[in-house]
Amino acid sequence: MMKSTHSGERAFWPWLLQRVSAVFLLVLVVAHLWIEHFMHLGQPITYQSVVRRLMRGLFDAVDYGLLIVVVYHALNGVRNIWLDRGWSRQRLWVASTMLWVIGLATVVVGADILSAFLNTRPWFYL
Amino acid sequence: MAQRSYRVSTLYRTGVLAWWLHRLTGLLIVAYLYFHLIVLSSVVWPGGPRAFNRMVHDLTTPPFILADLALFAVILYHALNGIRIILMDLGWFIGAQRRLFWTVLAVGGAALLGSMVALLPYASL
Amino acid sequence: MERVTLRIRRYNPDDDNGAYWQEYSVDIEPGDVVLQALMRVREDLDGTLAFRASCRSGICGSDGMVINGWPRLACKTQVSDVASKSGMIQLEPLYNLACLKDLVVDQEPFWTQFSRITPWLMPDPAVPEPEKERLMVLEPDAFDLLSKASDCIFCQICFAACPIVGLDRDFLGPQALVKAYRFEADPRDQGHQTREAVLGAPEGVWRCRTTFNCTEACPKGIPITRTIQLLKRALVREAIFS
Repeated sequence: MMKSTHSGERAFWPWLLQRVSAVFLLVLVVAHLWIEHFMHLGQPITYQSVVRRLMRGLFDAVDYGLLIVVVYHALNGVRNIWLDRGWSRQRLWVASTMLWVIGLATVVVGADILSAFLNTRPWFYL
Repeated sequence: MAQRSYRVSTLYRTGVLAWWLHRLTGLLIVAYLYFHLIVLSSVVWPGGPRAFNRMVHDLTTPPFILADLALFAVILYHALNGIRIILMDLGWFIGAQRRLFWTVLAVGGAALLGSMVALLPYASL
Repeated sequence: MERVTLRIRRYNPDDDNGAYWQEYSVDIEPGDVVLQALMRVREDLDGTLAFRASCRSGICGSDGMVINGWPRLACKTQVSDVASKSGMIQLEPLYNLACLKDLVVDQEPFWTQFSRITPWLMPDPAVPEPEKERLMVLEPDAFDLLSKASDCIFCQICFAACPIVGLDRDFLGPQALVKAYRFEADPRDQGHQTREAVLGAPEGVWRCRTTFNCTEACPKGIPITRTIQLLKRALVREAIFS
């Protein structure tokens, strides 16, 4: 009996995590739309009004969580399209590394923007 | 000496259509995600909240509200077809995949119409 | 007696014409299959037309071709089912495989993928070689699916129908995955460790996007997508619980 090379593990986790993140997104996107758009339908939207109504309980957890999960799901989805295009392993590795950099940058900037709403001031200005 | 120009399978049946639409809507949502972040990033520009207020004002004009509806349709498809994919990964409805796809479209269409009716009273915005 | 027109995509590597369409009118009897019409063309009209066929009864899997834009076995396709109102039938070589001549394709990529999943029974070396035969004990339900997976006649129609195979030349493809299941599900087989490395790789089972083209095209009615989904779930269970 030959030893398994376990080359499958790398292909398995992105596949599974895409589905797990999808399930989280189903909940988080609905919560996000409800909190941000439907709870105060018809009221004028200004920075001040948004800050006032987001300063509550678990709302920040929903948005920070959504940010991380949505960026993973989105960029892993882009990688899936490249997989389907039949990109070589080397090319895919370079592209994946690039996506990780873009993803981390997006999460940092996104969290900064969220802090402007949820903590009344951002970590840094662009 | 095999011929170079073999034909790649592009046979569009229900399952291929679902897969292809899932890719397309996925890309549209990624594009929107970054558009969304750029709009919101106005609060961390030097102009700060004032730039945000101006932008929100521009984005609540009729053309953008219509674009919001289109975006909602795109997200609905991606979400419902995503549920279809996960159901089939769990081993359910594999024998009924076509009916499942049309169910996705029907439920999505109904949800879109329903939300349009629900939002109609606020259409003056 | 009726007349139909076969519109065939011709290609001959020895002349410089490239691929072109040629039409042949032939008489058919009620109940004739497309292969019958093709053989009449070769016998009566044009001896240079190349296509593969052997058993004429859907067992050898030689005469897979694209009939009216969908891959089918010519010997299992009734002329009356596919002919247009004007009696036209369009024939092309299988997609996703390079054309060698007329309706004959280069099968190499298909067999390469098939051989990657070690498509034979690997018995447990600890169990002594039996005197007569190695018995398989399986519940009837489990046996049903394994038996369906063994119905494959290697006609390459699923390979030609799969859009992922067309995009990614490294993808194992539906047939290799179904055959892998046939051995994975066999209680006498101990080859899982070897096969798992191929099935779980980026070119393996995860590349299937459940488009169902393979299942809809399979002339033997093998539930290919369902079988691939079973392989995926077995690998998920293994990765998480062991």
